[in-house]
Amino acid sequence: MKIKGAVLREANRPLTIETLELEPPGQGEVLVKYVHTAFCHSDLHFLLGEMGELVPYPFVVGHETAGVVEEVGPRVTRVEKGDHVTATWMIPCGRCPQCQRGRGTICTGNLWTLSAGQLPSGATRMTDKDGGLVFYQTFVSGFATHMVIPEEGAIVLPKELPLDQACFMGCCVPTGWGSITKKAQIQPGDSVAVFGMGGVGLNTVRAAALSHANPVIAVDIEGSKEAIAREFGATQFINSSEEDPVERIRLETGGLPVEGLGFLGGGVDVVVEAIGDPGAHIQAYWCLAAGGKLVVPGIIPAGQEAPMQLTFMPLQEHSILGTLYGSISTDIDIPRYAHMAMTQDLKLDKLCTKHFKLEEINDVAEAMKRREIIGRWVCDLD
Amino acid sequence: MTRCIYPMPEWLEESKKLYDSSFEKKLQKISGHYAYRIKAEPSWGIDKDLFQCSIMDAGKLIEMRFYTEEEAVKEADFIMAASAPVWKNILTKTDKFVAAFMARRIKLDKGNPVKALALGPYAGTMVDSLTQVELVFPDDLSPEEFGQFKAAFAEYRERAGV
Ligand SMILES: [Zn+2]
Ligand SMILES: [Zn+2]
Repeated sequence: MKIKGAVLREANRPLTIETLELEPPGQGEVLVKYVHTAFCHSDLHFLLGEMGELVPYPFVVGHETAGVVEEVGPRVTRVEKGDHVTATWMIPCGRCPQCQRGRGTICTGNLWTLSAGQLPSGATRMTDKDGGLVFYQTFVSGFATHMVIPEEGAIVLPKELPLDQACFMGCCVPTGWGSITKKAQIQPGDSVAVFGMGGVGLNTVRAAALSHANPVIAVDIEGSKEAIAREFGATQFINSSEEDPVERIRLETGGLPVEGLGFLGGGVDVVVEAIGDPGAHIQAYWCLAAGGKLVVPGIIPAGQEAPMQLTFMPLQEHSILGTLYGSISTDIDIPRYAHMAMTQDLKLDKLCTKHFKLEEINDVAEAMKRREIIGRWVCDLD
Repeated sequence: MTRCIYPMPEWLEESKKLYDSSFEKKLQKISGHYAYRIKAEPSWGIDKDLFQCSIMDAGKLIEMRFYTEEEAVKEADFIMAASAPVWKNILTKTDKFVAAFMARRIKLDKGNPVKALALGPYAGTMVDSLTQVELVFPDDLSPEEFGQFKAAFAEYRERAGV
């Protein structure tokens, strides 16, 4: 069938909206009509080539999506036609050492087909007008009207959850919530700071607030993000373009300024660095209390370095913990987050701040580069 | 659909005939001289290593046949080696080329590993081009059919010098 998709032919070039040929779903695969796809900061990393050529060109971009199952291939048992689903950008193989230890988000079994732009089965399903192969971005390729994905990557969501909120279940909700509950394993009363008030950062703040963290300090370089950060549960907001977040956080949490040493005492129990910026990384580390954890879902662009002075890492038992996809189990946790979105106030209705058309996607990428996006902008694929 | 037994020469001959423009387009980024070393598997009638080679030029299949070891070593840009059962798994899509390569089930005897891995995204399409015939494997055959295959295959190798 013919579909429309946003194709990246090489890094640092505009996306082209192309008509592509999509093969029907094979064994264990489903055809999903994508309805809404949000633009995530990781998509910008791909556009700028900052993922270090993770996926072969050309590929259809996007990975935070929700849609409706339109057709199922042979031997599909987990989803049915008409189901509302999100698509996961990592699919555990179940057999590799990481999967066997319950760490499916860092599955190495399927990492290789992911990095070959294929589905876990090794299949590719798209060709362009010249008959050339078009690859997948991380098993999803969300900025397209339809896509064939494996049933293991299709997580069924309640139909009552609006699809322009359901798309957030594909990336920023699990990454934010998992950073707090899985990786930081936060306890009520823990103090938290979150760097970067994008989609992941806001969900991190929300997870911290609903986990009874206190204070929940939001840090962003754009003062315009204060209102939405507070809406999601931040008790304080620091505009890091105007003041040093390390000094403010250490002072406000009981630290004493000491000549030559910086600060004695103070700091927060958990800092989440949700930007992927070397400078923010270093600042985030210096906000840690003794025994504190720096949790890092943000991806520093390939080739950039963050020089860190780590004398206090053993002396104060600081931990630096990378997390991918919030270290969740996609199968178990995404339906739980969807259920929470129906029964608790995750603020997802406040997260979608603008709808756009597929043809406007390059403008959206430019707006993200200029840091103008507050909340998440969502593409309408109808 | 023609029925071919792996790795009889008819399999490559038929696959070459069936290699059409849709494959040329899908594989337009692939050029080079690729050799696949099928390691000896006596229980499959393969008494010594066999070299399956294809020459690609911007997706066009210039040549595909079995080579002698000397030809393969001299002419191929890449030699990828695996046991016959591993190649069966690749050809039946129960294993994936990239995963097998990274796990060293397929070893690179010759060539740059990063460049060989660049074949990964196209491996599924290459497998499709080799499985347009009904491909059966020696371990799928009845004892009687296996006996016939074994004799015919040995005769072919003797005659062709591969
Ligand atoms: Zn795995
Ligand atoms: Zn994302």
